Amino acid sequence: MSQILELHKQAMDLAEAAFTAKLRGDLKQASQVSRQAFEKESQAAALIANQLDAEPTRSVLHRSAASLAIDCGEFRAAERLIAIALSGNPPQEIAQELKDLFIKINLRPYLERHGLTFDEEKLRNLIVDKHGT
Amino acid sequence: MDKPQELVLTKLGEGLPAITPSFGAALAEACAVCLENQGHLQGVELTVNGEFTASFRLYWQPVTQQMLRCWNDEEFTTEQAAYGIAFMLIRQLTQFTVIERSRKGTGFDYWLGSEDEAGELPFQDKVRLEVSGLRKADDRRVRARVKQKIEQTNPSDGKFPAYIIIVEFSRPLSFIVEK
Repeated sequence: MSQILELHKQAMDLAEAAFTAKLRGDLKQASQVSRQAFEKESQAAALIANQLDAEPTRSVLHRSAASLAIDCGEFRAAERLIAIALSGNPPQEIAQELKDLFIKINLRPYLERHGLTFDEEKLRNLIVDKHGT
Repeated sequence: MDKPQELVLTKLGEGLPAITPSFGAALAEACAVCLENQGHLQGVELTVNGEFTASFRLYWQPVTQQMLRCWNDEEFTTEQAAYGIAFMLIRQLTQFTVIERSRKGTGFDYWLGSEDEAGELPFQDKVRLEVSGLRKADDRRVRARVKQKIEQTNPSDGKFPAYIIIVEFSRPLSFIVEK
């Protein structure tokens, strides 16, 4: 198994463990394991960062690491990972997901800088209404 | 339609190539909570339409108070339960299983392939799995959800083949689309 594959598998097993810990209400354990998952996935992403033609692996690993960074409150790290992914040749589908993630991180601060209140509940309802579900 | 096959949801606890047993067991719990919440009895028939026409008798573990406490968010529970059922349907109806996963937003993004495929890099030449769950919905809402999912996974460069699976728990039924 390649080093990238091994690190990624460890990261995802840890992310699943964080998910189940959170479900059982063990938030401290969930937080610790989430951070370990983020570190492993970041390492996997770094190993492929210079292989611009290794898609969709390169962009999916960076998106995955960015999502884990957000779970850990590491927003600057998440932005960097998203930027690295977008600077390559991500497939359009993954590029869109990376941009969505960037908006997720930055929408609240953007609105607050412009004196607007961010109402997460209202936003969620708007999205649900739009999809008609 | 052939005689219904059995889908024993607790088997998710055995894990899959890219699902740990503990995570699979958690998904099996979510399935049990959703099915009991809709008043179903063991052996209720799940009807599958779309790309495949089939039916399955569903069996799940008893629901405990602790499970209800863990799975008290209806939307989240329905989504995870839908993934659990989708994983089992994919194994039953196709040559694929879940062999890769990545993080996406607050959940996981799943990729399908054959168990004997061992690539050097993850996500290469894999089929993406898109799943959506509805606890209780009429045909119009199910169709709307299918349409929404197709649009979500329909980029203009069409890089990834995908299976889209909608699971509705009140009847229960599943609709599968291959993109």
